[in-house]
Amino acid sequence: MKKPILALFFFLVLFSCNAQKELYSIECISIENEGFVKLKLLNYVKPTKFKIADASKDAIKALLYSGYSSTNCPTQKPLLKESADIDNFKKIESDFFSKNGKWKIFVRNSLDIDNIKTEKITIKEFEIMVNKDQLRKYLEEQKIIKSLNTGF
Amino acid sequence: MKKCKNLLMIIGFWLISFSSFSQAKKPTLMILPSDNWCEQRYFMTEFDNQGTKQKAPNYKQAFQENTEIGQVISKIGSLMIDRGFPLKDAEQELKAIEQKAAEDNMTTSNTSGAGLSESPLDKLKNRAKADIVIQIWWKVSKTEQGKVISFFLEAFDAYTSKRIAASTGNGTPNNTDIVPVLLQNAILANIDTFVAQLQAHFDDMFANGREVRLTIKKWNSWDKNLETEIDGEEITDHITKWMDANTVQGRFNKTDASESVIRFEQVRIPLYDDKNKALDARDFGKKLQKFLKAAPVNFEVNLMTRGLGEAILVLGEK
Repeated sequence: MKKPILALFFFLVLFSCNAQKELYSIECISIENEGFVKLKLLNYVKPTKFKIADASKDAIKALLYSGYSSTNCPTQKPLLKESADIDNFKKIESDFFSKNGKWKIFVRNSLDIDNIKTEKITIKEFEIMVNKDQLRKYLEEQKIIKSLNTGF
Repeated sequence: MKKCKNLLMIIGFWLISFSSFSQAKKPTLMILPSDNWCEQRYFMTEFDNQGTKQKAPNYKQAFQENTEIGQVISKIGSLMIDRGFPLKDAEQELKAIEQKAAEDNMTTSNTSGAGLSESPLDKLKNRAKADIVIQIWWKVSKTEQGKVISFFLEAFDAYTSKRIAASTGNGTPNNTDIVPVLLQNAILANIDTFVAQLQAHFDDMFANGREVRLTIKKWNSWDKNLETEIDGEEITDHITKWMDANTVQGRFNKTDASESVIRFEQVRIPLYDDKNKALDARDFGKKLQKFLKAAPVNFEVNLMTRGLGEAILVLGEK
């Protein structure tokens, strides 16, 4: 009787860790020139250990998987729109987000804008500029997503 | 060794020809200001259409006199080039038409002094056109919080008249930026949604075939009509059967069928023929023309087209 309960406990712990890993809030501040998008990021999981590199990766993930919407920016759909696109990206995802991965090319002006301190925790906010156009072009070149002129 | 070289050359030629044939014909895109935008800024021309006064946008005047339209078209154009889809420039197209007309008028043969032949229909068709027309509209309103820009971008298939992409929105009130900056921000904010819908239209085209229109008419000098029976079946039925067999999954609508005209709409034609060559409405119409010229019907058929998307067959004579 104890074994299934123990197994269930471990499963729940693993599942919750996995879900928490991606828990961040994102807000579009503005759509800039030359294909850049300025995003504000805030992570709820271990905020004290949340670094600019993590925030940059989260910003890129938001552009890839979820898209974004705010009062300043109209709704923007994710770059990986179809399940086939996501499957294609999964093949390169670990390399792409590795320590010296390509993700660094698409990010600039990362700024630690605020440290909000409460009694228990310190929440860090970052402003990240991501070059969405270059990211889209990279995905098109890697045949992860289709370009508008595919087939013509 | 020589045989091997020849074989490689044949394979290379086959690969090159296969890759060039397997590209679908690229539709042309052109941006124009919407009729409402032209009307609000008095860029309209009034003309008499057989007793009825009608208004049409005067694009040439709009391009020459408005300072914002050029910036807006240029910005959208550069964003589309970035996506591998350069746009036909309406202003340049209008200039080119005037230039061509002037040159054609001055062109004469060296031997007989004959001028270039142009039918009244050719003259009528000599206007700026594209397969997909993108219309833009914007308005700047002043509020207590600042200037607010309302903006829309719409794409229409010129031959099916369907709206294939649209993006619209209002900017946030802004007191600091000048109008061109606000317009640029509106374009940047709307272009991705617009392009995504354009992409969905192209995806649908690749999956279900290109949508075209086909019209069958008859010359009034012809001694038959479309209800005349040949081999126990009306000409309309012969044509409908051919359409069933040659469209993608037999998809088309027969919106009109009388003794003198048949109109087919939402006709889905394959993107490539059996030789893997890209098809457009003219090629598709050509196939039907071939069918109608052969037994048992044996008609003379004239084929006309409007861009990539509409074919008109006139039965009776060339």
